[in-house]
Amino acid sequence: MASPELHVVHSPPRRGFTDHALFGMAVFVFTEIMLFAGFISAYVIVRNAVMPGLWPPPDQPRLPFERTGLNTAALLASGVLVWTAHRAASRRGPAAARLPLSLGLALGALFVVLQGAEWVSLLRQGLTLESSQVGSFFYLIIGTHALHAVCALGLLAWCWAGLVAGNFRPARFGAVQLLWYFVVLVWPVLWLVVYR
Amino acid sequence: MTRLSTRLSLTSFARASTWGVVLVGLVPARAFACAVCGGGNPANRFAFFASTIALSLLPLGLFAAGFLWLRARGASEFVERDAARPALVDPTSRDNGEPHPPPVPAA
Repeated sequence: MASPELHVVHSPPRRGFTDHALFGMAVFVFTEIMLFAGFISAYVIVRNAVMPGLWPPPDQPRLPFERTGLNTAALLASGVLVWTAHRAASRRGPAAARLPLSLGLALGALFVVLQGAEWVSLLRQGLTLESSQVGSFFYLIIGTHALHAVCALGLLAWCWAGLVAGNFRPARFGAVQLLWYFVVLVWPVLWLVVYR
Repeated sequence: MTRLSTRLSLTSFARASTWGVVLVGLVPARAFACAVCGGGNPANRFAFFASTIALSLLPLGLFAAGFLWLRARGASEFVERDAARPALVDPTSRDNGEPHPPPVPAA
């Protein structure tokens, strides 16, 4: 019995719409955007309910808007450097991303350290979670952002370690990048709304 | 007959209720049930109104952006697949890229 002659048409494999890690991170970032939008909404409503000149209350310290500009610049520069690392990796290979990613990681860490120093200073001046509505909102909103920054920084460090060890994974880096861009881009909004 | 009249009265009640809800919805300024949205100073009321608009539109905007992004990626994938198809079909065969019928063993 002769075996049947089969015609096989090779079609390129489906690569899917997007990477699973990237898509999962995008869904997570979506929920985080809504979380921060809710925080900002509550803050703006409560702040506008206070009589003019009473925010912050007279016995509470004023939030250091100008001094935090340095932190903001460091974080924005970190975002630019991570984006540069992504471009370098996709155009010239993973080795080219090492320097910009290292610098971006260092600036991100600088932001977290400066924020920590600022918190210590504000706590010493009497601004606590229970001292006033200013303190409650400040530590809730900025603290949530700091938590995200620390987690995203840890993930960036994980990618950096993989890069140094020669085990760079673009899909993983893409997902972590998305979280870092969220941390970077939501910060100026918080800075302008909460600190001013 | 009783069942028919009951159904009619229920329909009338549902219709009246719907109109009532619509009419109440048309005069929200008369329904300040919330101390936040109805009270406070004008700045507070505007902040509440603007926040409501922003929180309503933000998820819709994000969904729309995500949908457009996925559609753009999907479209580019199909263009790539269609462009690659003729080159991968054996030119000596009579295959035109259409799905094949199940193979029939030779007798």
